[in-house]
Amino acid sequence: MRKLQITYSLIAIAKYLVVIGAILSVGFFIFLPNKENAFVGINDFQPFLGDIYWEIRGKELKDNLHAQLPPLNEPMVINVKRVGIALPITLTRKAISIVMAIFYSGYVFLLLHLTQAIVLRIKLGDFFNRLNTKQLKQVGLLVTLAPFLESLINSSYMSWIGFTYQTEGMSLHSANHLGSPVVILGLLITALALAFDHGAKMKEEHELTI
Amino acid sequence: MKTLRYIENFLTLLQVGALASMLLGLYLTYQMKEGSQQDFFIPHLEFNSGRNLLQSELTNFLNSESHMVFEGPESADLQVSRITINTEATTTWRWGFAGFLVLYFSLIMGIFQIFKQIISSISNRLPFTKENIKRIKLLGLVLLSIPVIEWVADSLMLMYYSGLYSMKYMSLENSNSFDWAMFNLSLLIYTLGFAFEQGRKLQEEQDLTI
Repeated sequence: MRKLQITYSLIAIAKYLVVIGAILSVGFFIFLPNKENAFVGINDFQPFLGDIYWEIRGKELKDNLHAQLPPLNEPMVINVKRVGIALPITLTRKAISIVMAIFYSGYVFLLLHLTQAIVLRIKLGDFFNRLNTKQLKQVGLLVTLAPFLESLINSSYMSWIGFTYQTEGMSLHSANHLGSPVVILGLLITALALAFDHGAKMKEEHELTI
Repeated sequence: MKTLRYIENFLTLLQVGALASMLLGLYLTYQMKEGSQQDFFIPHLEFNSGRNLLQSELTNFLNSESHMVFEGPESADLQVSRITINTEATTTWRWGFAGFLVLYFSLIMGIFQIFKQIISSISNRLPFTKENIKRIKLLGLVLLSIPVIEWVADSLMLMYYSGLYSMKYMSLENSNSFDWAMFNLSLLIYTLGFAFEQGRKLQEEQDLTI
């Protein structure tokens, strides 16, 4: 039961971190001054608008950029393959960021809250009941859908950038954080929820027999 | 039980996909020319925060000197945020990469196989068996260890390449960060293994009653 206590505590800590992260993100976007250019690219602080970048395809541009780089010690060869975009921070962009921050945090918080409730009931010895089955199915669905939702949001933002800005010799890409492993985990949780359903029925039958 | 059949079929498809990806990866590694440049499986260089002369020069070149087409309604700029490092694909590197591919895809196919066995037992209305409890706990532990192993491997790789490559005002970075989503969900899977133990006791009691 100590392992369950550790699991429960880790989930509780994650829940608090999500709330703190959400408050800090919303605060950051509210107090972010307008007019400044914020970078929309790889690995920068813009987690709610997707990782959008252009990959350089044109050989001429690639070579020209390579010529700008300083000569370095062999065998290290460097080049510029990806280019990001710096957009002006407008009120609309701030509003979208705040909405997305609340949406992402709410989604993760709900997921953690449901998981914590299930772990708590298991910790207390209350395993097979209708509520656990229902919540496990909800967790399974939320987890399975998460990568698709992320992909949908990223694609929408990418399409907007693609329609708004035209470039030559570069192709637009986006990088998703959640991938197929999360879908597999979601399916596994759904399958286990069905086993819980069987357990709940078995428990009911057992109680009726007694 | 229809859901379980769909999941099982989906997993079989994924297994075939993983095997095909492994074979394709091995073929491409075999076809790779000795000494050719590759940029995957290696950290990239990121500009340190603050004003960086090289970054400013590259950005300036992209936006005004390169004469490339970049059109859009707002005052947006193209920006270079990372520099890709290329290394030579030596025979040792190719063998190492091939070994990694085999290990990685074997692990994935193994996980799918265990997952399919769990689903099959749930479909047969025998979810609470000793073997299943072992499988679920093993799966939970393996999934839990994946983000940890990834993080350790990334850190070691970063340390190794830091000794080889360096550039003024830039730091080596990896694209991956610790996968908290996977970690938390694997904790839930592991916890469900404990609930299955209880299910087994319940099943035994029911069998005795009958």
